[in-house]
Amino acid sequence: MKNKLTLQDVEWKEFKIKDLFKIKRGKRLIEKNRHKGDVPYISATSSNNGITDFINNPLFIENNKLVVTTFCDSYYIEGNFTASDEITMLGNKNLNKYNGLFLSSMIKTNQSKYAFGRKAFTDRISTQIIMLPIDKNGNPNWQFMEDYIKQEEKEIVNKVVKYYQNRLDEIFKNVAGGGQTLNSIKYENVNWKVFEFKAIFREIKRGKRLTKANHIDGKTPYISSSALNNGVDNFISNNDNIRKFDNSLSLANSGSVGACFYHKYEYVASDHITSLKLDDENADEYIYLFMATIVKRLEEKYSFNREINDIRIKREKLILPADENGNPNFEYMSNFVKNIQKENIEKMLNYI
Amino acid sequence: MAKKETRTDFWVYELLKDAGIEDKLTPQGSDISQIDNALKTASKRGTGKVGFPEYIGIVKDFVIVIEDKASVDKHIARDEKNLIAEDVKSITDCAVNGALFYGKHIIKNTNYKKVIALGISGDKKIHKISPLFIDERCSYEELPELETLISFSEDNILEYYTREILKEKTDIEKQTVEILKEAQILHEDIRNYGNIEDKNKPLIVSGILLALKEIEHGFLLDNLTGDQITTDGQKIYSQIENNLRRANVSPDVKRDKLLSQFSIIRDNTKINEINPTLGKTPIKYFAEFLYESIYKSIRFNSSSEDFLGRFYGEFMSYSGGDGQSLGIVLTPKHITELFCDLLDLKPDDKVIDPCCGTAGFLIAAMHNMINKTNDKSQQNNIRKNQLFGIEEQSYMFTIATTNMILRGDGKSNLENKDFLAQNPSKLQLQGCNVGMMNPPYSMGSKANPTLYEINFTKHLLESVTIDGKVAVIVPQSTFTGKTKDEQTIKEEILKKHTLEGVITLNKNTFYGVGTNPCIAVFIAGIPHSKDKRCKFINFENDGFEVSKHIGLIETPSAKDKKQHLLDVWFDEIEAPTKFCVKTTIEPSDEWLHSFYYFNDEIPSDEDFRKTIADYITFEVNMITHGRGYLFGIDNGVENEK
Repeated sequence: MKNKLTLQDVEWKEFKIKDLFKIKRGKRLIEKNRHKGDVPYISATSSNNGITDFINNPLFIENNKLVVTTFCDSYYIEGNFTASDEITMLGNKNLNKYNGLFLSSMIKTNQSKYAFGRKAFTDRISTQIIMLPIDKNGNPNWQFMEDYIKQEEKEIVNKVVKYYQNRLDEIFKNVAGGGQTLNSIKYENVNWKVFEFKAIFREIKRGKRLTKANHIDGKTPYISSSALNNGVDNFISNNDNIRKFDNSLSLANSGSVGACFYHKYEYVASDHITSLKLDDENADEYIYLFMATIVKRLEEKYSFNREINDIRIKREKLILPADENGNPNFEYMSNFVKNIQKENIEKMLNYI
Repeated sequence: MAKKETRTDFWVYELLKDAGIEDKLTPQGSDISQIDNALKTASKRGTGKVGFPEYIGIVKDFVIVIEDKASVDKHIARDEKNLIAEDVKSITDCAVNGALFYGKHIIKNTNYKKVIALGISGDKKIHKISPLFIDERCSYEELPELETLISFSEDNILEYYTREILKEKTDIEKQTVEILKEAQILHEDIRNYGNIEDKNKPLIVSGILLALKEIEHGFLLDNLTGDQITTDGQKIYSQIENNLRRANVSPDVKRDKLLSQFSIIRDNTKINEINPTLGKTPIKYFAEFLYESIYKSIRFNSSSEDFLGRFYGEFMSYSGGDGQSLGIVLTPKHITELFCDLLDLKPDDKVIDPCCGTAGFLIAAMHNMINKTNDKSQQNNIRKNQLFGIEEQSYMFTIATTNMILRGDGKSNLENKDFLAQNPSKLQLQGCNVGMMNPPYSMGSKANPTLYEINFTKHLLESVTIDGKVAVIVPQSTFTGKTKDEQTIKEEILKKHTLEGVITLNKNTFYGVGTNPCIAVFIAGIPHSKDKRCKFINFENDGFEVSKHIGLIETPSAKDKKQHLLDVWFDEIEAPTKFCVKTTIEPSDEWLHSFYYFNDEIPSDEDFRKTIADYITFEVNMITHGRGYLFGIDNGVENEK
């Protein structure tokens, strides 16, 4: 591509969805009757590209379709999938992953029209009008849509690839003997020992309440008691009456009680977060990710009705790998996580 | 190795003993000749030579065959289709596979048509028990894992078969559904024809039931003619009076008090006038209804069958969400029965419930104790002199008394008083050595600290004899000690009494009422020793489930789970800390399993992989959404602002 494609340089026209696509509606398969398997089951959700389950007894199978949920979320699905009756499926022979992503964002622009009382059912979707770039004959410009998305994707992917290549280098550099040592890490040969929270974490401190109305938009993550998106609830720039932490774990003491995430960066913690910082200032992300897995198990014993207050957390215990002197074996924890990260990153880099 | 195997055999024998079928199943062969003959060719290697399962025998008309292995690794082997493997190696190596082999062999070579094959592996603490049902065509079904063998006792096996294997409702379930329906119909009828307040509905029902008892002494429903001079209500009222005299309710003051509660039956005009739709007075219609649907059944049912109680419970629950509009929370029957087992009631115990409500605990205790003796005079004594109750609200007191009279309690030692106003030392003189209580919830406050559940508990502990046992069911928050007052009372309790343990219950135990309850068991009058190791048990998973429109129902696993609880409670077996933590305590502790427990199981590889995958997903998500700066990528914050 020579010049950068822009959305301003093309002509746009209105289209009715039913004039562009072959329309089908999904079929309901209630949870009780679903058997676990490999076929993505798409239903009305605003996350994970619409996938809510993986099953092996689909009522039908489709592929290469745009799907629209009853809340007018729209996704492109490339491979085989099945879908619930909350899903409208749109097919067109020109459809592919790239123009599919373009179309799905165009369809989503109408989301505000639909709500619980007035859902985006198949008949409403079919008569929905969307704007699309056109070619000189006045037809949808499939090629432009595809090229535009490819151009944008490349930019993002480059960023990710660069980041992770650096990360891989770092992982290899940090471990003596490179990847070889990592492969020899054996999970079975670990000595586990019980430690008190007090002994492991130098700082166990609660965040501070900052009501939504007082949030000022910005760049610092605001962490609250959510189990999603690493606990990130908002990005803010407040400086007064807040409590900031960095390189530490956040533990939800209320709400999604027990959710625990690692934060490498500086963050603002709500009062529903207890921040846990290790004694070693330089503890790396790998050690923290290892710990997060274990701390998260507090979910089992605490709940909405039984929150993690400051007294309770200070007398909690956890188990960790120990070295021959009975101290926490941080090196092992770090290497263990590095090993898994390496596998994940390699897998991902191979894909994109 | 061989030694370990013997230990497993021995533990399995204990399980059989607990289920009371140790005489029916024999080790290494059978004394039933047909089975013994079949085993002569039952070698697991398929050589046609002799082969013996660990235990085999017959309960009712089920053949039960048990194959056990010392290690849980050798529990079951599956083939690539996820079926139980039937090759020689799997059969000889694994418990379930071996059990299936013997089960099929028995079907093929005897006339028996129903085989339950049990693969058991492990030991007392860590184990697996997998039942299979094999039918006459040798097809088999895998049934849910168990903790004990109690389901296969003489008493339980048919119920297990009906529910787990045939997947049909048992008699008890069917009855419950019917009772429910009838309670609902009657409830609506009383509303439609009588226009009666919720509070008075149970009084009308219990009054009529008392009057119906007089049928044995000449009372005829036909006498209820709708006469305007002597109304139907008056006739029933005088029958109630007769019955109270017959039940020997004394002194007169108490009888008059009871009677006055029933005056609504006599005085309400609407239920005493002939209703054109019914062609009779509503009160007569109710009486006939109760006679046909409930009274006859009580008569024909064995006394231990708590038919009336269940009707009553259901009926109350329609009086506005589990009797809440009556200001009470009825204790479910499975809890009242669990109390009897936890306190290990003996026929000579004396029981007090100072917040007795409809007398659920006392009735459960009565049945439990009576069933433990065959001595008629002792049974009589239990009814007359060993059950004590206090209830503050007069209509509840009336219902409780009626309830006790209807179950054949001769004397009804129930009193209409305020428990907290009673001097505990005086109550102690009654000589009750067992206390059971479900105190009123959430009444305590800074202004009224005596109404905290923990204070009720303390008061009860002081009202029973020294070394007596007390169990209470209270909200879990009772033992967290939120307020200073509660904290102080907890300290005082430990100074004088001993905490045995606390059992965290199913969150839905009081279905429809937002309470998370637990049971605490104490020994009264003996100071809590510093070294005392209390038991804290998580019994949230008790085998009861919420069923829409019905409420809490028992699933087939409930009996098994209860037995497991009791085994752990009475130190018969060890349990993982996930289920039971044994520990010393401090007054300031939260006396709950969730306080003392922490997960000491080694996490799986998968747990870590998930955390890391989530984190990388988050990273990518942030980077691709223009938040790369979080990870030190500063270029291109284009989506920002």
